[in-house]
Amino acid sequence: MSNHLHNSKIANRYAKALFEISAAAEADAVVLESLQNFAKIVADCPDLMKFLTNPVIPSDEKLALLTEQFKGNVPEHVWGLLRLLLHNERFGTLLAVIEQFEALYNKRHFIANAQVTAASPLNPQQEEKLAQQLENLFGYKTVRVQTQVDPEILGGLVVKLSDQIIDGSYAGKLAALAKTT
Amino acid sequence: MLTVSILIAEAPVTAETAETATASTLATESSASHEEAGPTGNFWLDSNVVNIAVMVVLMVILAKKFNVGAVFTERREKIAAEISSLEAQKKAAQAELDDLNHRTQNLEKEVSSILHEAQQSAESLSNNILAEAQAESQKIVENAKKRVESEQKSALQALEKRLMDDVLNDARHFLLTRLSPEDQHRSVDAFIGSLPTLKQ
Repeated sequence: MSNHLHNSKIANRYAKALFEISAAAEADAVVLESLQNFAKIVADCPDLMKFLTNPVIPSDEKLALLTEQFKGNVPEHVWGLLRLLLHNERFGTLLAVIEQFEALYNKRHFIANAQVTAASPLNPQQEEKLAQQLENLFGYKTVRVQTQVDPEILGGLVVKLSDQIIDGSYAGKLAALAKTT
Repeated sequence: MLTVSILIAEAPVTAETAETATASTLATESSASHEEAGPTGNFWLDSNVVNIAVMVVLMVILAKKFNVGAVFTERREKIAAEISSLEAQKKAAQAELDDLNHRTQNLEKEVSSILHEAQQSAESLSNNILAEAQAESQKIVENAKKRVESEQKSALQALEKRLMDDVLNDARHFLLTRLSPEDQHRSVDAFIGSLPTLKQ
């Protein structure tokens, strides 16, 4: 837990530094997109992350692989971050750095991610309407709806946005009814 | 005749001397009658008178020699002293008797007082014990009432909870099995439609 907190602090420092540089250059959107693509690649190829974080493998070999695969394909700021993490032997914090960078980006551009739980899948119109209502309700410029299905909520929706939870599910209403009696 | 009178006058007046005097008087009278009778009778009378007189003189001498009066006086004083001593002892005994009577009366009073105090103390103790017992029994009854009320309340709450759980489980089962996809969509639409009211 303490180690996780320590890594989170370290990742926050790298993310903050990268965000300030890229935002000043008005390249934060491009950088975020590049970082998200890199995160997808790492998720699809777990061996790549194992290779880059293996302390036994020399840094030269890791740098050679990164150069071969990513130099010129990612923005300059992202390439600088990858080299810096490799040099400082902090490549294990990369995913946390990406997460922190996205949070900073969303905060700057009034973007929020809403985690929505429904008893059955929502159709696109419902997702769009829900996003609009949440934007109006909380004052965000953009709300991205991420839906998951859980039949146990019986009906309605449960919305988690930032640090707030709106429970409009039938299961929640039944639980509230049980508490009041 | 004169001699006899002198002897009688000098002798101490005692019972014996009185008797002797009476006898001598009788003798004198009889001698007088003898004198009247003749000279032989007077002689016999004179010799008796002499004997008696000698005897009286001897007795007087002996009484003086042995101090018979002092003996009697001493004896009288001794008896008087004994009487006085006995009276003193009687007084002391009487005083002691009075003291004992007084003490007996005091003892009776003291015993009566102790009995009275003991009775009062026993009554007070009895009253206290009774009061404590009543208070304790009242407390027990109150506690029992509270416990019964609490248990009734708990039982009622448990029953209500059980009923509510049953109702909620039925409702949950109904919603889980009976809601169609269209119902689910309607419930989502209703929730989305209610979001603006949260702003207020």
